[in-house]
Amino acid sequence: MMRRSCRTFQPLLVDYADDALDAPGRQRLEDHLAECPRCRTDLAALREVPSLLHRSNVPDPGDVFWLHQRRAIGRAIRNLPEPRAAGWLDRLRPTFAMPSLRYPIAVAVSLAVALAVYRFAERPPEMSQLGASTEQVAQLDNQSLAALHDLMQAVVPTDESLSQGSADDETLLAALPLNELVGVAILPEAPRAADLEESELEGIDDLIGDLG
Amino acid sequence: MDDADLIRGTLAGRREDFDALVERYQKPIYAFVYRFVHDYDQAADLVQMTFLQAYTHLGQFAGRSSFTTWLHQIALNQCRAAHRAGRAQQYVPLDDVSEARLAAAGGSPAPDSTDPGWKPALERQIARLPLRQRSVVTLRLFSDLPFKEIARIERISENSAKVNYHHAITRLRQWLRENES
Repeated sequence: MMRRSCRTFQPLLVDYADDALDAPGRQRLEDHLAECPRCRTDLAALREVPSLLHRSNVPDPGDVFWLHQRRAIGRAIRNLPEPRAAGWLDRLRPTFAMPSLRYPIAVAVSLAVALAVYRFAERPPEMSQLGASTEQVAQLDNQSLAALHDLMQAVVPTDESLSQGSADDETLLAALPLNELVGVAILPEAPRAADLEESELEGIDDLIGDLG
Repeated sequence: MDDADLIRGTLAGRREDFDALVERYQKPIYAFVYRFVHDYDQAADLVQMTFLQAYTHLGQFAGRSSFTTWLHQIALNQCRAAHRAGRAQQYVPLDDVSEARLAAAGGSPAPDSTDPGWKPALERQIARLPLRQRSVVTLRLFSDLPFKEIARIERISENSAKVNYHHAITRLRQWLRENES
């Protein structure tokens, strides 16, 4: 049974047999070899088998064969379109096809798509329905947004909610100036409408206009 | 002219430059392919297809590796395609081994590293290795490519190339031992 540590020494054994191992690796391996008969056997194989094979040659088919083959290839390429130098996109293609890069690229693209979808889906649908601009929405906190939503329900009631509302509610709403109503509903800590500058009131008017 | 000059010349439309590349590399590529398929005719066909592929895709050779590494990679792909098609299956009769041993060693059961009868038998045994081990051993021992280039051809790490080589050699050694007994 092969020990786990023996597996880590396999590449070192190959380098050692080729006399291509650096001094620290050599020392580490020799320490291991001193106590591992199996790796000693493997080392002997790595020296013996290549020496058996290394000297063998494929029989030469002869000059006529080589000439015939060159001519055959030459004839065949005359029927092929001429090769052209690759453009920058073609040169990048093998890089993206490399197994080591294929998965990181796929993960990065997936993450980018997921992030884009997530950010798009996270936009509060009620804000887009209300028609408020991005800048206006950004200036409001969650509590104010909820109050504004409730206010819109009250100011622009549906037929159903109007029939359910009390007469006092309607009277109260009608009695309050809309600017002041917004100030109370959206910004409970804000000054009353009477305390606001005219330009600030105009801003609120614009906001109400946009929401309406 | 070096390889880069001949490649530039071919891309500029000079087919004779590609002929020069064929002349330069046909023998080593043939030797590599032959050791993979162990069939002369098939090796000749695969070499031809290798060079035609190389010509067609020469524009994509980016020079990140040597031209010979790139050619070996194409040749290896051709061998694999042929193997998948079932045309490169080698059925090495085990009887060959015994005959070689008996003929060369006069019936002695022990293999001798100086015994030429073992070389062809052992070489044929390479054809029985798993594809990756076969290509790593062939590229290393017969094409003399460094493990770094072999790793590039096989699209694996250098460490993995060495581990595959280790497995192949120990397997061949085991086969030798089994035939000793």
